[in-house]
Amino acid sequence: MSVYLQKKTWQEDGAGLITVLFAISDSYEELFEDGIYVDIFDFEDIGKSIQADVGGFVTAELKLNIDESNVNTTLEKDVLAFALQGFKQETKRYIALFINPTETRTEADLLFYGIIQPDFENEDIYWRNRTEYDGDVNSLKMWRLIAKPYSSDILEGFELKELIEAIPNEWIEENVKHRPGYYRELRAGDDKPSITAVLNQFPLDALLQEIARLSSEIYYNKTGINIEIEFQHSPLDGKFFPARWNTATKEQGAVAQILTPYRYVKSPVNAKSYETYADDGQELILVSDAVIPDIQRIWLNFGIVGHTISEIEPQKGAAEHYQFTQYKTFKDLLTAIAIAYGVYVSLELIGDILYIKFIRRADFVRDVVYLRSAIASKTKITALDFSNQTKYVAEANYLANEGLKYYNVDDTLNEFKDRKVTPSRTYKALSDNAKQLPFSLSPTVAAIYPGYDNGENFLGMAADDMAYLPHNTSHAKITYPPTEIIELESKPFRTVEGVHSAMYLNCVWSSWHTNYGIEALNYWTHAAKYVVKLRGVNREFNSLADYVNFLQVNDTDNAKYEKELKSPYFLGFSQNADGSNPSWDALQLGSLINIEGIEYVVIDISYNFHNLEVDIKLSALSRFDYDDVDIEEFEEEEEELAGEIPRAVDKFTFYIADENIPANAIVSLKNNGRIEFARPYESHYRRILGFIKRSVEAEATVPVQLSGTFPIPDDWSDLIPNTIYYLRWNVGSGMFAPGQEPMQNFKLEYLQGRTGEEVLHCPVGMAVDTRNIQIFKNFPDQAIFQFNADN
Amino acid sequence: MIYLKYGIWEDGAVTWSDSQAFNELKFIRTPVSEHSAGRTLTGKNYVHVVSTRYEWNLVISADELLDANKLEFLKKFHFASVWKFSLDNWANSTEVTIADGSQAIDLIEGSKYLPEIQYIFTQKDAEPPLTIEPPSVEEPSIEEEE
Repeated sequence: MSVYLQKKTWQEDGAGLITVLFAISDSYEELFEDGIYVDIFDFEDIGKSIQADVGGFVTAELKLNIDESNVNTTLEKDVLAFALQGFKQETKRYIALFINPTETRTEADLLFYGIIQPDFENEDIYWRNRTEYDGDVNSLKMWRLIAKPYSSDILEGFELKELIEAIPNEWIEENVKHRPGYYRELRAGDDKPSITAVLNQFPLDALLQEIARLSSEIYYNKTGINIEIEFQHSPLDGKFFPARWNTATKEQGAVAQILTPYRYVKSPVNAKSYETYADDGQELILVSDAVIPDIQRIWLNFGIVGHTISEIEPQKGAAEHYQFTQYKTFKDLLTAIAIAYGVYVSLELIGDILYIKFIRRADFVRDVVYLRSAIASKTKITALDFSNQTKYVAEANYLANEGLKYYNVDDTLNEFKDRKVTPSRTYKALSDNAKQLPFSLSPTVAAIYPGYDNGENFLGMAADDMAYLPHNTSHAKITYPPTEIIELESKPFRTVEGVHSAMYLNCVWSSWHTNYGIEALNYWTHAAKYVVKLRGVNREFNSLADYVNFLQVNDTDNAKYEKELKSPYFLGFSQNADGSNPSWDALQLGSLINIEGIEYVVIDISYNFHNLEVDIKLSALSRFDYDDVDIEEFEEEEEELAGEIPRAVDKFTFYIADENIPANAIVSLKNNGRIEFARPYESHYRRILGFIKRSVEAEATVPVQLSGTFPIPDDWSDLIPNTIYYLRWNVGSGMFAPGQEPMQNFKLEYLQGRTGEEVLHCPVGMAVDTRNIQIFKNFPDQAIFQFNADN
Repeated sequence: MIYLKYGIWEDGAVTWSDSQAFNELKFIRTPVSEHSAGRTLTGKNYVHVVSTRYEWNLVISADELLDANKLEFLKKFHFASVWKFSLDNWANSTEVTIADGSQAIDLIEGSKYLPEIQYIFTQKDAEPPLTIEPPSVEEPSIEEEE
């Protein structure tokens, strides 16, 4: 264990003494400890930047030179040898550069941290052997080393295919499952109810964690070095919206169409086969160091991974072009994922742990920084050349493009292995300047002819009818209520299963959906829409490729006005407009700088220790000006859509129940953030939250309706229009077993004083007709009776 | 009197020569500093002080060089790789480098028998950064009342 230090000082005009302390060690921890001072390193410059592509890596590097003619003492020779050992995998050399460090150096003093990279170069400056024609020259060299915050060999040292093939069956059994689909049907007279299963779903974050674990394992087996990979919490920009599939029968004609087994129509499917709702957006987390709720995970069909190719894959050769195994290394996969979501990847090796974080654009921008002055400022205006620009595509697979598309299944033999697909297209290689994204927004649909599905007709289907079924879903028999394990029927090919790039979402039952009466409480469906808020404007995308291509134009459009500044001050940056408390660390990647009324974001910083200058590259803020998505309604009607997009006027939020609660009840919010059955007691004063439509068991999640119109069940007697209803025990409603309390907790008659335990006066809504109550939002009118009711 | 030594690196360590004393004709110390300077776009000049050292201008007279041993010493001195001097016979010493213009030979009155040799020494290690103590403020004394 060793640490060597070198100091460089200068007096900065207007600031005072600057001390730069360079440290090199064979352990991260020792960089912060006392060591032996030497004077052989020439640290040239430090560069930090983000890659200019749509998404990619955040890079940082330190250029370091060692002139052997300055290496004289035994100590200096030892230190040179110590540094040069950094090119070996097993002898990592950690580098740190501190600016004006405190006596006990901390990470807050770090201008740069990195590891000497295995690839470096040297140049002979002198041959000590003066004999001509003698190859034994005994040279003095100038060594040029580079340090970066990570060593990429663990991400690039072996092929991704090798890692994917090593995924153990235990992981697959635990993570890859048929999940409940958008629709369940309780068939009368059958031995088990059935459900639509979304096939072989797994969470992307779990796969990344597993590939990371396997990378560490294989790296250790090959090098004997133990490095763990840890992902840090990485949320994505904007919100994704699930496709809420419609169901319909032939009788309803072409307006609403089917999409479940036993539902069918004649005409081709159109966009009304699913709907997206403005209140339905989900903020997703790409990967995290904590447990991610299912509703915030990215779900995919396991076929995309390339671990195996299913026997029923219609075109196996074509499928390979859409699988993760198309990427050579794990780093290539991470890059592809970053591009697909327009985010940046930061890597940092601290000790034996490689930390990986995806940085969304909204988080990239930091505080405003004020620049003391500059010795050069230039604006680079570059003519755009779109002809050479990469065009991103996100085909669902070889059968269908991204978006709502369908293909035909021609299954004349009813045999599992002989299934045939009549695609509207076949696989065609992309042009040289086109790149396939790993994921897509693709609610793809298979069109199936009657009689050709598992030898069983859909009920009532005529010979020329067709049923339209979402890709990678199947009919399954289940135990109700659904568990995670779904038993598929014996021949699970009521639709085509195969490699597909669609993102799926886990979502919760929604009462605003037209199918809510038959929808599963918690289920998986295709992601259909992505919305980000850029420069204060919600931008809707029905295609991930559209989003990435939009980013590219957006980035390029702004990059053509890139600005470069050169500051002669290392301490010439302040977070205060008056320049007070200037420091070096006020300037960071993502800092905002305002020049001539234009806000720029810092995308590149380079500290030059020879010239004592800081070079800064700026890009217009508009590239990164992301905000939280808050949609009242979708602004534009999609071109493909026939009819009106449903507008969600009812406001819902999801809560976990703290106890069993009956259906069609008012609930209260507890101090622990969970909900309970609302009771007209003093303890519920100011805790009344909203209505729930369905019964819920303790620990389960349920949507609570906070505002809008609440429909009462069909078997309830009519309401009296334009009358107010109150939180009260409705004794005639029957008893709810767990608490032996009335099933209903609201009724027409208001409380006239304390009546037994009932003491809380709370009007909950007004009947707008005989079947619906308009909820009083926030229930503002509440009181506790202090006197008894007259009996 | 100035005492000089030269040295060479060998296996990571310096081997120093014996000391040689000279009567200096001139030995003048001057401070020098290295700056990084320029002018910002706002028109303000800036100067960063990168380092501060001393330089010495040493002239050895022709009388001294009449001694063949001393002349031989100076020849080797010039081809060495490390140098140091002392003014108190090595009670204290300063390590230096020799700058351009060293060993310039000036022939007095053009006579090859009267050569003077000049050396420019530069302090090897930079001086510590300059710090100025703030002026002390005397606390007003409080006279006790009698």
